Amino acid sequence: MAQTIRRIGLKLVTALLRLGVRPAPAGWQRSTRPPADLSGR
Amino acid sequence: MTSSASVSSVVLGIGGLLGHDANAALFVDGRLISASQEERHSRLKHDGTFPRLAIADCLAAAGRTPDDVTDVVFAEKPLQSHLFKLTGRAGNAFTRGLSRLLPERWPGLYTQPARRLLPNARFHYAWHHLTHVAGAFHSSSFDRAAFLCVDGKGEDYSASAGIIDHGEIKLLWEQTYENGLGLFYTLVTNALGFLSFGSEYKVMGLAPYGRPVYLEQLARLFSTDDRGGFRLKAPVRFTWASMMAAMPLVAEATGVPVRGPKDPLTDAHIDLATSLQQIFEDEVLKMARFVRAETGEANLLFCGGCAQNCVTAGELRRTKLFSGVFNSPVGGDMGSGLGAALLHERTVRAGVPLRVDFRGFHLGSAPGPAPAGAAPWRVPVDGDLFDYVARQLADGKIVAWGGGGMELGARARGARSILADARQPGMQSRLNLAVKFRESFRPFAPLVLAEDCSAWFDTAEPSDYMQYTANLVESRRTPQPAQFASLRERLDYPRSEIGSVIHVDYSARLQTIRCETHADMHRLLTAFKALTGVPILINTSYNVSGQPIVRTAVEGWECFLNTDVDLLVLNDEVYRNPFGKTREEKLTWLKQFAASA
Repeated sequence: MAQTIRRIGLKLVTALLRLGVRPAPAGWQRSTRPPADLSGR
Repeated sequence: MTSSASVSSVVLGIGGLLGHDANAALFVDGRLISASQEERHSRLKHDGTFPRLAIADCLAAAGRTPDDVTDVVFAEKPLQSHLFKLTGRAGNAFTRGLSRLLPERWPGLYTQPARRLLPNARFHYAWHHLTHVAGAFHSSSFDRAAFLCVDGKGEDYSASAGIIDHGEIKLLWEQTYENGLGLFYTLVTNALGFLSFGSEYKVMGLAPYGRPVYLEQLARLFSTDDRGGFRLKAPVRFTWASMMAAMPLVAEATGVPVRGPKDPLTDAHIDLATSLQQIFEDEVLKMARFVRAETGEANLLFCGGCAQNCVTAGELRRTKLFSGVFNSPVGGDMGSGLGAALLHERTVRAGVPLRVDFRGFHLGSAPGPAPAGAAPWRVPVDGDLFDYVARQLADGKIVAWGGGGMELGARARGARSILADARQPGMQSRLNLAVKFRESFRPFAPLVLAEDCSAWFDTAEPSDYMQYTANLVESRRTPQPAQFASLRERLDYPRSEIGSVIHVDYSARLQTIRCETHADMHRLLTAFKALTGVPILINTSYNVSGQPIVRTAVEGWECFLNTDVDLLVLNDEVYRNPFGKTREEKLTWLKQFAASA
């Protein structure tokens, strides 16, 4: 039961994340990564 | 052991989270003490498990305990990787924000063991590509350079570009998703039957034997532009299942059947390797031109896993697009822990130039004493050791050489090497088949006295770490027939006086030897040159196919007994091979490495 809830939860999170992140086009894109950031995971 | 209280900073870089080539590097108070790869300890090639043994080795070298470690820097942002794996989409500010909200332990497959082992440490996470960039920059002589990182996979990107100096890194451009140029090379490598991890260099070695007749067919698999923007059309991922499923796409596009690992290599397979290498070089050169135009920088750092393609690195130098080109001595992930620790050090010591010199890549363990069983086979040497070994080499003997700190990275550079005379006819086949037990087409690399390099090759620039190929000068080439009846005939054709280290296209992967970087090898080459007039020796790693390079004297002795190496020089003492093993016994010993061969 707990596993099923976990699996559904993960699917839900994944779906939400996909909503928050649009597909990127191919080729060179301007980077927005903060290069000096060693704290964020 | 030094008191912990006297030390303000013990920084451990840990690499290998992406599942291969786990490694560690240790800085104490800003000084690099040690760097080590897990495979050299666990004896599993490309071992990607948590590098517990490599960490222990680094700490032992510094006289430290796990409790002393103040900072750990991982060579990847694991949460960003995980989110990419979950969603199949590249991250952005939204996912980076999430990394601060989600609990520390999620996901923690790799980082949890570190937290348990190193209870007092603060934890940091570096962007994977930037660990490659830092590793390359701080081992180069540049004060400022553009970088081009072409990799299999970072967290969610395959290539990146920007500018680095001692104070700042500007990450300007990136190619998102993993299905870029590196994955394409791996995919075709697998379709060519080289299934074990990290076999791309075999395809690079095979490429000069063929013709690039599959360029158009392979081009159906990807989209590209004139800036080197590259993406596979199929959404292939860096997983075994995805690779296996995608291999038929290569066969479908080219008409060349997928080759099994034990199937014979046909002309079509060889031509496919040539075509792949040609596309790879063209795309990297396009990327480099883009980076030159965008940054205006005079120097280029070529880094990431794809920078291990020394043929392309050599080509980049020859184009003169940049005044200086440097690629990392540890282009693959085996140096990512070092790069991660460097990123931390440059942050806390802002603006202070950090340099990892040649010694920095020989900071692993020493081999230790020879096993007791070796004593009866010790050869007393009257006079100079280097003169003696040079005479043996000139007589056609194969010599294993072990001493000093273990090399970091995929290549043996004179601390755990097998050496031979490149002038001896058939030496390439002899080494491949009776010593290394590997494919006969595989080329060998030369050690060259740096001061004599330009008399033999079309470069005078140093290649301390075997990063580049150069071409044999015209005057030393023997013309080859236009056609050969077989691969074997082409392989054995005497292309030059030093045929065993000259590939069929007259290229060679150089390691230039300077007195200040490698005094022992310099003395040996000088002695060999005095005897023969040739300042060049074959250098190959001290191992057999599928085996990690030997680390300890015991491993070295076992490898020596099970191969046709004639002499072993271990800690400056010479041993002769008892040749007491039958071929069957050797083959049985060899089987333990078959899975990684």
